[in-house]
Amino acid sequence: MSDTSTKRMLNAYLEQSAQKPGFFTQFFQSPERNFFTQETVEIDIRRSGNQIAPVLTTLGADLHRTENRKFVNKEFKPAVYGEEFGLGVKDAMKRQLGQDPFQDLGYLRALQTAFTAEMTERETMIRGGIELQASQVLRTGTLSLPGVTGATAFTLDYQPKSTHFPGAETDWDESNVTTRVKDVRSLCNVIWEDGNYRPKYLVFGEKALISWLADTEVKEQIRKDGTGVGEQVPPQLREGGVFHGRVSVGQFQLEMWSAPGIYSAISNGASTKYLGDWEVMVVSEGARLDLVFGDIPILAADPRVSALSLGRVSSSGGRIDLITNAWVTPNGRNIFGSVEARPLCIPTAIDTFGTLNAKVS
Amino acid sequence: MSRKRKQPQPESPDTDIEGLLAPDAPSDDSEPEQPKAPESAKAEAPKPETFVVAKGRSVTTRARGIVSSGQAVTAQDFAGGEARLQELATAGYLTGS
Repeated sequence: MSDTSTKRMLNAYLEQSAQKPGFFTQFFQSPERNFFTQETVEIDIRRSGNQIAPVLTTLGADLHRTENRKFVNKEFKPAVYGEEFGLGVKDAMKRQLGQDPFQDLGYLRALQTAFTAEMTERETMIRGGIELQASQVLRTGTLSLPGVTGATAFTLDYQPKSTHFPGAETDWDESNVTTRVKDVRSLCNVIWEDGNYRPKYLVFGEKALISWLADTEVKEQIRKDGTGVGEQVPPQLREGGVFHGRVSVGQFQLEMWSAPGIYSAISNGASTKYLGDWEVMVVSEGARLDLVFGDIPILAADPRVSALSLGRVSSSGGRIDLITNAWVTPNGRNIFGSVEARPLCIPTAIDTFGTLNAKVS
Repeated sequence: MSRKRKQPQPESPDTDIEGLLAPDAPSDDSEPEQPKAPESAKAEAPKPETFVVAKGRSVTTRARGIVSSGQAVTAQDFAGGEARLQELATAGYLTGS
């Protein structure tokens, strides 16, 4: 019986939620093997190389012996997110958002609706936390996550190569700057040489995009007569980002994107962009970046509200893994729910992306 | 048998062994010292300050691509020249060496 209720509840939740991963989160993959049942997660990192096999002088010559490429097994402890909320049982009898008042308002149904709405909000917050992780990894190769007070509560340095996060030779807001394309080309070349994956995505902060599109060399590529090697299209909202067209940079054809995502800073509530105004990110196509989830042990759900507690909700495509719970106060007047997650964005192929700071001073 | 008379050798001024062994004495006819450049002249032509890319940082350059931490850079590497060096140093991308 509880299984049936849980399934019905799960369907209701997923229908109502239907949330999609954030723009930067989508660069990270979450296959089933990325959902762990332990507190820590382990990832094998194998660096690529550009070595080629030398020829041997004769058939009988000694074979060329090479060292095995090293697997670097790294263990990480994912960050912990946990959101709690409460519902008054009498409040649950009131009409809820989207509920048809002419239908039978069953007690459990009303509770489920209210509970689902609260869970959805908490999921959104946790997804925001994951998006912040993803953006920080791609911008800096490190994590520095705020805690409840806004102060940094979780740090992790993946030790990226510093050449993947350069400052620009000339600030892009200078009136006579001519180095924009060269800056991006330099970054693409470094990523190609180190990471062995072709750079494909060029993601701009707002002001960097305006500066880029005003560049003479770029304008020459995207000229409207159709003879340029690039193209600019009207901004298209796609997958949480905005697509602007394509451009050639050196030996690479890049998609131009901007990332308008904003979150409220925990410390002061200020609107903060996931990607800085003057940041220019380059990400390779097909590079392996992992979003993993650790488990959170919870005792058996309260049998009185077992239908409200979904347990662990995981979705590879949705790049989410939530551990939910529900319980009732001893006096039976209030129901509490919780949504927890232990996500961690890991740049498994750490040499396949980089971010230029286009305005240093 | 006639006996050859030994001619007295003229005393040479450079045969004074004591003088040879003595430490060099300052002589009046030594070459005059080059006049030292005045301090003010030094200030007018200072040695250009050298910078290296700070630890964990990198910068794009005019002709060398991306230069990583620990490598030296000069004003020639930047279109903005010396002023840009100072800006990058202020922003923490460069440190003086």
